[in-house]
Amino acid sequence: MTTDPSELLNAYLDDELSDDERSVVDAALADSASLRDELAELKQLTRLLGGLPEVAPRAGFEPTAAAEADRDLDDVDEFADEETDDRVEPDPTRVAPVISLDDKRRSRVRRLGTAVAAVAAVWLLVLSIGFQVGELPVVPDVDQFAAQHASAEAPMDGFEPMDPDEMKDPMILPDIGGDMERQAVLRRGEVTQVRYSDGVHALSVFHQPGDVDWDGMPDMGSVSMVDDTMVWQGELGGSDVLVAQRGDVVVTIVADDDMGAEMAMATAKMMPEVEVEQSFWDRVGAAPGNLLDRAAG
Amino acid sequence: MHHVRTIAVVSDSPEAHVDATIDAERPVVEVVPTWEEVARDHTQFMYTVAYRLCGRHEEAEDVVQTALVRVRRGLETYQPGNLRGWLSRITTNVFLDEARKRKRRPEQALPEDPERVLEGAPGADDALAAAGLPDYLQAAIATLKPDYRAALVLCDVVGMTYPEISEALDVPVGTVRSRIHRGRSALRELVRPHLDDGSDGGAR
Repeated sequence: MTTDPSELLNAYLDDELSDDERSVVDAALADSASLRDELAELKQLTRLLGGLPEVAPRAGFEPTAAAEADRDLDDVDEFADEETDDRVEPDPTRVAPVISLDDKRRSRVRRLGTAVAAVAAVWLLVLSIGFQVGELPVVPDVDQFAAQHASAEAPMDGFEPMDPDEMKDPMILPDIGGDMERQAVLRRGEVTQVRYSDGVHALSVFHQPGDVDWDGMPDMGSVSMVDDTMVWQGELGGSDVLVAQRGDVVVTIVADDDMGAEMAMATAKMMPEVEVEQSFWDRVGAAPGNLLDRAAG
Repeated sequence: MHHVRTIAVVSDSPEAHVDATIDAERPVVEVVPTWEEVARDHTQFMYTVAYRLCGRHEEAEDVVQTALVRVRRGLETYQPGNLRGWLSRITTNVFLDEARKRKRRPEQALPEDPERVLEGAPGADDALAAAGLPDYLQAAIATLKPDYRAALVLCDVVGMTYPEISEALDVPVGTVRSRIHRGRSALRELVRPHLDDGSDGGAR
C-alpha cells in the first residue's frame, strides 16, 4: 500500500483514509505548500464534478415498455432485423435434380467423396498453419504473470532459471534504464521472464511468440491506443500490467504499483521489435489442436 | 446533482410488495418498486449517470435501455436498501460491458493539449444538456479510460463511498482508490487552466 501523500490526497479528500494514513497526509500538508495547492485544486475539481446537474433524456426517449423488456437483449441477434428483411424463403420449385444411381453406386460415391474431403481438410489445415507464421493468437496469462512477478525469490512451478548468455535472445536486455538492472531470467515453455530491480522497485518483462488476441484479453483491463501503440492495461494484485505487441512477440510488463503505468509503458516501448523464426514443424506443433498431438492420441 | 444517499422510499402503488411491516414506532422502510415505478421515477437519474459516463446521448440511451432490462430481471431478487446505488451499479456495469465490446474501436489517448479536449465535442443537443457547465469538463471526463471514468462518476457524481464503489464494480477498495486518484489526476491536468483562473462554470 502506498504511503505517498500525493497519492493519498484523493482518499484524504473523500474521507476514506485510515487514521494512520490521515496522520501521514496531515503532516505532509503542514510541511508542503505545493501539496496544499494540489489539495485545493482537487477540492475545486470535485466540487465541479459534484455540481454537474442532472441530464434529461432527449425528447422522444422512452424507457423500454414492459412487453419489449421481456426480450433479453444479450440474446438478440443484432442482425436479425436485416435477416428478416432480406431472407428469401427457399423456392420449392428450385430443388436440385436427383441423380439416378443404384444404391451401391451411391454408397461408393459417398464414401469416396468423404475420403477426398477428409484429405483435403487435412491439407488445408497444414497449409493454413504454414500461412499463420507469427499470427498465432495469444492471450497472455496476465494473472499468472502478475503472481509470478510477485513471487520474486520463489518462482512459481514451471518457471526455471536460465542463463541469459546462453539464450541469445534480443528481448533479454541487461537493463531498462535508470538503476533498473536485470536480476534474473526464467523460462516456462515459450514464456520468458526477465526481472529487473533497482533494489527497491521491481519490474518483470514476460515475452512469448505470437500475436496478441486483443478481443480475448481479460475484462479486468482495457485496450487503448497510447501514442499510436495499441496496449492492454490492467491492475492485478497491486501491480500495473501492460500488454503490447513488439514484432512477432507478445510483451507483458508487470510493474510494482508505486512505479506507475507510465514506467510499464516506457519499458514496453524500449523492447525491440523482433521477428520470430519458426520451422514448419515448430509451427505445426504450436498450433492448437495440432496434428502431432492428435496423432499421438 | 446532489450527492445521494437513499433514505426511505415508500411506494403508493398497490402493486408494490412490502417487505416489512410499517407501524408508527418503526422507521419507514424502502419497499421494492415495480419496474414501471423505476422507469417513471428514476430514469432521469440513470440517464444522468449514463450520460456522464458516455458523454453522448446516443450511447446513454442505449445504456439506459439495456440497464432497464437488467433492472426488470433484477427486481425479482433486489433487496431493499439503496435503490439508487443499485441502479447506479447496473447502469455503470452496462456502460463498462459496452466499452469492453468496443475494443475493436480503440479509445483516444489523453490529449496532451487541454484545448484539444474540445475536439469532437458533443453535438448541439449534447451541448444543451451541458448548458450551465464547463463543456470542457464533460469532454475531459469522456477522455478517461472507462474504468477510471466509472469510479469517478460513481464517487463524484453519484456520491458513493469507496466500499460501495468496490462492491458495485467488483474490485478491491485499493483499486477504487487507485482509479479515482489516476482519474482525477488526469482530469486535473486537462482542466487546470480553467481551475487556475477560477472559472468554474456552473459549479454550485
